[in-house]
Amino acid sequence: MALTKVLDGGTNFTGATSSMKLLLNATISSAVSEYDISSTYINSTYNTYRIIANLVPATDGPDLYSRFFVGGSVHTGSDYGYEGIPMDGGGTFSADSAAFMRHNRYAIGSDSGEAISMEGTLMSINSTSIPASFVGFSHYNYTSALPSGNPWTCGFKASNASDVVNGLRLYFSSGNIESGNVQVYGIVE
Amino acid sequence: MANRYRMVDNELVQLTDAEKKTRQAEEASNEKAITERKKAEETKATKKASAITKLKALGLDDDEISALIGV
Repeated sequence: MALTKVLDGGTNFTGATSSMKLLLNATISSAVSEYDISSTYINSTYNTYRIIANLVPATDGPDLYSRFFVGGSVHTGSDYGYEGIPMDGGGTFSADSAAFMRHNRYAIGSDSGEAISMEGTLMSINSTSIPASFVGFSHYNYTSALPSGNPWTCGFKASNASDVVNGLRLYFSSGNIESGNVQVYGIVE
Repeated sequence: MANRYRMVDNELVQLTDAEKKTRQAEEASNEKAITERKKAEETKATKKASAITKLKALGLDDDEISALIGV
């Protein structure tokens, strides 16, 4: 098969329809209250972004939350909805009007070896008619060191469909992010 | 009040006093909500165990209880 096109940071072979371009690869090496991906990386360049984050909480037992940025400011209104279900058959978690998006069912541990790894896709961030959404999976070790995981679907409510998203904040419900790393990819259409 | 920081892309940014207070208030609210959620889950688990015990007392076996409540 002939190579017809080479992209900066990725390849696009004949017959391929899309590729991912690494935009940001950040390491969190000292405790921070939150991690923000700014409009430098999440903007109108791409409509869809893939986010990967591996985070260690500084304290035992928090949830992992996120919020969108709109117009350069973090959106703190109760305009998010989320749903998720753990793989072990436990109860679902959901909210129809929350001030944040939630990415785990069980409390996340902070002992040695405990952490949360999540990957999600930001979609419709530039649309003014389809609500921005953030959909993905998390794997984590909860406070008794047991591994668990869950898919989650998060995003703006219909009433916020006109909000264009240009950033993402990741943070724990309480306490700092002790350490971790975050990667941001743009999805080439 | 101890300094706190956020990381923006690759840069550390110190939180202002106002941002620290906002963050602390949110953390307190979140901790309260999570505590209440855990308490509700524990109550539900206790009720479930109690219900299973009562079903067994009525003569249902484990397979019948499993078929009934889906566990």
